[in-house]
Amino acid sequence: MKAPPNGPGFDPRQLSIEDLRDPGKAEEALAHWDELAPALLTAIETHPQHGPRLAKLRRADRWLATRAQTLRPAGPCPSPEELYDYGRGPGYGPLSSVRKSEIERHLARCGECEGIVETLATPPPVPLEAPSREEVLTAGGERPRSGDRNAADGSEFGKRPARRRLRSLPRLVPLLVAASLILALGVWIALIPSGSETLIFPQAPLLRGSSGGPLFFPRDRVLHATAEAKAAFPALAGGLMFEIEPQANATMYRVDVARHGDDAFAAVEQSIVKLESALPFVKATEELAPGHYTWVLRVVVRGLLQEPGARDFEVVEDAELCKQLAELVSRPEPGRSLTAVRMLHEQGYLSDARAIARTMPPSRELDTYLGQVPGR
Amino acid sequence: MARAERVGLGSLGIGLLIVLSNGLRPAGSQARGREPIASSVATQGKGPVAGPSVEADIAEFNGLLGRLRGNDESVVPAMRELAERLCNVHDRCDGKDILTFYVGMSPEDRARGLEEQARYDEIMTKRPTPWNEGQNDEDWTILRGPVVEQFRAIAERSLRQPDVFPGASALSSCAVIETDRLRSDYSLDEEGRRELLASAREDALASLSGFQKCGMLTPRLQPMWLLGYLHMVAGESVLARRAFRDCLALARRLRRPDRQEMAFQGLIDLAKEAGDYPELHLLLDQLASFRTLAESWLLVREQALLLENEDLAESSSQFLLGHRPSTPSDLGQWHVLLGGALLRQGNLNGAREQYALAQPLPLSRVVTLGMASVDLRAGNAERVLEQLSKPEFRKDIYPYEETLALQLCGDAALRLGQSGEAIRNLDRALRISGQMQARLAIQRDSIGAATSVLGGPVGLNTLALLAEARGRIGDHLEAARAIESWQSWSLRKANGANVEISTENLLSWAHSMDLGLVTWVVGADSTVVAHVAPDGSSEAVPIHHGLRAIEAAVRRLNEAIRGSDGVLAERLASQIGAEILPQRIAARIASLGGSGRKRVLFLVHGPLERLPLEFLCRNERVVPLVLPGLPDGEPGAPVAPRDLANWNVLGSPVDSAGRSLLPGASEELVAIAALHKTTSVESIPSGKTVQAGDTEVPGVRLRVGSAFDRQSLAAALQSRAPMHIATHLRHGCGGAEGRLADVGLELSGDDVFCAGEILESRPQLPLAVLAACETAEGRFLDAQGLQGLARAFLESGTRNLLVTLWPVEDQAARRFAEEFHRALIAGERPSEAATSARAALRSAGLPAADWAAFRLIGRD
Repeated sequence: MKAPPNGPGFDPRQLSIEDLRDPGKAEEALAHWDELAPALLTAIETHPQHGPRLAKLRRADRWLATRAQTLRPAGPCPSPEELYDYGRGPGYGPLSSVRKSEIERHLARCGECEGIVETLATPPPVPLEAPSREEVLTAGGERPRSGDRNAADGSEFGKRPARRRLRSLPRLVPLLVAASLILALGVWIALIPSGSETLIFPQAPLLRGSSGGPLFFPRDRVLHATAEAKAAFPALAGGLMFEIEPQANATMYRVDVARHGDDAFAAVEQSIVKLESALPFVKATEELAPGHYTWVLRVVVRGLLQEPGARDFEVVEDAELCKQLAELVSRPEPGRSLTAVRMLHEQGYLSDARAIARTMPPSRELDTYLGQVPGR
Repeated sequence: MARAERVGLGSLGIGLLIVLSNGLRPAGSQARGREPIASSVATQGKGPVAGPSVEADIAEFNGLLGRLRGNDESVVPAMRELAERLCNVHDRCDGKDILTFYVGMSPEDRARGLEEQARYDEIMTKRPTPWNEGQNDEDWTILRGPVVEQFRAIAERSLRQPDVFPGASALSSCAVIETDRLRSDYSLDEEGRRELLASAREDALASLSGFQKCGMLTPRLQPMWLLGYLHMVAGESVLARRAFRDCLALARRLRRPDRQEMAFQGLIDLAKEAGDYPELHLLLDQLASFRTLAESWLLVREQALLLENEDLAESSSQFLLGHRPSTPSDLGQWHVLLGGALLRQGNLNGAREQYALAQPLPLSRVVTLGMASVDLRAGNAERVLEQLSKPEFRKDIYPYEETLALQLCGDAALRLGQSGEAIRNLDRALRISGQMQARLAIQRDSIGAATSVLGGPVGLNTLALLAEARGRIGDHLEAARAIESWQSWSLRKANGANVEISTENLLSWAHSMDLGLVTWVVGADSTVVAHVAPDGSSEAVPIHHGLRAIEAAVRRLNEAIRGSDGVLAERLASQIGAEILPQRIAARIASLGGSGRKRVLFLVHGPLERLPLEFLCRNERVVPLVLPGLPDGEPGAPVAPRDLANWNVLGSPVDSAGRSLLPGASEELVAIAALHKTTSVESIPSGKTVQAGDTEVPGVRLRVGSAFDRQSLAAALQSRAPMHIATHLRHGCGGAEGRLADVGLELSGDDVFCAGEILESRPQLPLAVLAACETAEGRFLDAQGLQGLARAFLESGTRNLLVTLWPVEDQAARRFAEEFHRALIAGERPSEAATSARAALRSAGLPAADWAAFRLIGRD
């Protein structure tokens, strides 16, 4: 039986590249990114959809790590007297600014000392018979030590003062920010309620089965975008992303793109684009001119070259659609991108719709959309 | 012995040369072949084991065994300890058996055994070089006899003594020499070959028995492999496969990748000989799991050949250029393969150059054939006929090579306008491949493996050329008969009938349709379409597109329809229609039309089996029926309304938790059941919530939800009643091996009824509706067609099938099913009902992806 994600038997190392197509498993992989097999991690890094998400997680992690470095052991504690003076306890003495800064840095890392200082932040309750400052000084012959004060004041001085949170803020800020970032990521990934109007992506029809692979995208039509459309949606500029159904044990995916004539029996011409990738997706570096194309997929499996198939697509100039896309430029996100995705998808420009979708913030709906496998 | 017995030499006739020159060589070190326990060449499968390695332990054991055989019994305790460790730690328990064998022997018997061993070793040490090189020069021809006699003398003495090991080794070596001669001595006559084969087999068996007696495992590998090869040469493919499988299993157990590779070579040759490319893919994948391309030329060669045979010449040349071998013999083959790939890509100069580099012997005949192919392409047809007609070329030619030569001669004659000569050559080539096919198919069928000799090693181009030649001399009907006779054999052979179609049967099929029948053969470079009208008149017309072009065209049309690009689909359909149904054929069909609906039978072969003819034939007055080949006998009477009176309606599976896997299916099934109701419609569960039902009313037996189980489907398959199933098609049914695709119908409770099980059930139904995704699909075997669910039903004798060419939209499927059943109830034939249902969905504005997927396979 399969172990549930994060359950006792769940092993993120068992996740495979194929699992990235499943939004749920992809999330699991991202959540456990630092435990994944190197190949899968590489696959996520270069994945058009999950790559940016991983980068974000890594940035958050780096930020945390950087801050954590500041939480390293605080070094030798200042003397109680210095802490007393720093906390401005009754009768405190002056501290040099340098020493004050040193103690400040130490307190940010040392909870114990901070606790001591915090006890000084709140004035002690007035004792029924409070000795005068002078009496104290006279009786002791010297400034009382903090411990002495605690002993003298009984339990009252040992209680956590109300201002503690304010005083501990410098140390907790990084943790709080990190926590909120993680929370926000979690919300992005999992908690944004579905059905939100702005996140209704086009849906695939319910088919009795699926056989759209192994050459997923591009297919059918690809938009040859105008400069205005590209300006509105930079994702439409640049080379095509070739998306392939992962093949078992494949170590290399090769894509050859060639033009062909406008005829059912037209032979393909010499390859004009040759791409290779260890992962089941690869982005071309240059745009293709309008025309009919065939892309042939070759896969290296255990060293053996195989040819799983070929697929046609047509690069189309569509001035009207480009104009409509360009007009979206003033709209706010994510509605702007979502509208473009819908327009392109509905008119059969699936590769272009996906290119724009990949630039959108992560969400479950986006994952579902990008994870859709062409069924036929 | 028939020439066909030499067939197992694989493509280009070089397959086993390599194995024989490597594998049958009595090992690089003379000890390897006779080590009681051979150490592993490479550790695999198991992780590192603490303590001494298995190699070290085996070497030590063998050393001590030598001393024991020399009667030093003091080593026995140490050997016992070693044998225990080998068994417990390294899973090599043969040491215990060997020890028991020698400990139980008297010192005198051991000494006698050692004497024989010394004699055997002496011969092996002085063995002549030619044997070692796998050559067949005159010296070795002279020496071979005496060497065998010496081995036999050793065997005769040794096998009468307790220590049979030297005798078993000697017989194993005899079998090697005999097999080598069988392979390379063309001067042997039929009788001589038969005797030699029997002798080699006897020696291999006796040697195997001797090694078993000694408790030895490793030495058994050689005779086991030889037995596989000898069975293959004798045409006993099932026995050969079993022997190679046994050899493979033992080699795996002993962790001997070299011997595993040899066993794979045998299995690969068997699959190649039968044209079973799906199996070849599997075998090469398995071989690649433990051998790299750098260490296995076999792997490189067979993969390149496979790509070439699948007409993927560019991939093949890419692959070859990345894996150039270093040894001269391998390099010769590499040049031949690369030459073939370049030739296919039209690079004649490059091909000629590669063939020239592949010279000289032993590849001369293969190279001659390659050069002839280049000449033919270059327009030198006369030269081809001249070269291939030379007696020295034809002498002792292998059957496979002969078919290639005959095909080239036929092609050349056709180009020279010598149609009669072309027909003679091409017909003979087909007859030889037919013999090969018949011999192999009988055996491979018993293990469910595929055979497609014509589609595989021989190639359908021969048939395409023959049909064209027949057409040229006006023998159009014979062209049509040949096209049908040589394709989709499994449809007829399965029923025990003769594979060839008689002219009478062909005419009766044409007569049963208003517009006659149309059939195609798609060759590598050309295609022929033939039409036979109901009155028996016929016409065969060549189409100047070969396999790759037609495959691409069909793929493009499918992509356009499935991608709902109506404009493109229309344009492509128009272009394809004009080519595959040329004006002469289209006009003939049109001339037969009249008022009312007219039925036409399309016999689709090769890539055309995936062509959505239903999209091309949108004229509602033309009713297409499709078959992937003619079944045996005559078409018989169409199904009568009473045959479609009692329906089994099944499907809508639920998983083990009771959840519905196909929500729309129960609605569809209930609706269909209601349509076929007689009086008791109230008793049929209705509505969207039907999760399980087992209802029987007059006219309908409904099994949905949890009631759709193995038992209910098996009963429906046996019932001879029409059946409608709405479920998922499940991939990965139970094994990638075998002729039929690894698919099945999903049942409730996570169960699946596989295509193979359907074939075993032999359903003989008047009509089966398979409302799942891609039920027309299957594993493609050239010349045999798609082997999947539909084929399992058809071969069993099911008369009509409604299937899908690609995944269908849930609600469209439901709608189509209802329209189809309504039309049936209205009295339409199955083909007409399918046409009506398609038209209804089309009229409703549904895209072609939703209606063109439905195909009626059958004869009404």
